[in-house]
Amino acid sequence: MNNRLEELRRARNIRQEELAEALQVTRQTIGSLENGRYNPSILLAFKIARYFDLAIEDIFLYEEESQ
Amino acid sequence: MKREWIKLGSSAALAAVFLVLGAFGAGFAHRDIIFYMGFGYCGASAVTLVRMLRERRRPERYEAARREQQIILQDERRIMLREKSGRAGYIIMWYTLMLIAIVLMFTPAPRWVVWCMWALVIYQYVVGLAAFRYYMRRL
Repeated sequence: MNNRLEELRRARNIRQEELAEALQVTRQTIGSLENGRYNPSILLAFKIARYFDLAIEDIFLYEEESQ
Repeated sequence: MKREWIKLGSSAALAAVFLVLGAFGAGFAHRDIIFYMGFGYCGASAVTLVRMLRERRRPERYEAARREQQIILQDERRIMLREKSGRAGYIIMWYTLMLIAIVLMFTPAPRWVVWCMWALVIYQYVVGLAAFRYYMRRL
């Protein structure tokens, strides 16, 4: 699963630490999400979507082939 | 802070119990080990006490560290990593115990030690299975 987290964060000029604090996760988790090493739970995905005021599908891109 | 006091109180109480038992418990075969355990708990109590005194001097730093700890505890990636490492530890321990039990069978180790090792292997497997079934029913 790919995501646009880094792109959205940079576009809004937010630091990883700030995003992590807002989502109540560690900065490393944000890094792992951005690198695509970690897929978030549905709960965290919703939190991220709400934070950016977008739908989950606008941030997380599910690719059938990668499965 | 209340949790810190509980932590300090319980480790100090354990230290006192082990030190007294180690020093005066004439009926125990391994009094020396009990006594050293008391020393270990003394160290733990001292570390907690020093930390509490430092925190009292700089409450804002303590509050920041507490918030960070809270986030670390509830961070879902860390929870997942803890579960993954627990699983890895379980598998490694299972194979290690089994290897030790097999090796012990070819050595002049007392019979009860070999049986204990095999009992531990079986016990670990059964506990793992029981935990799995418990979570199967709950989730």
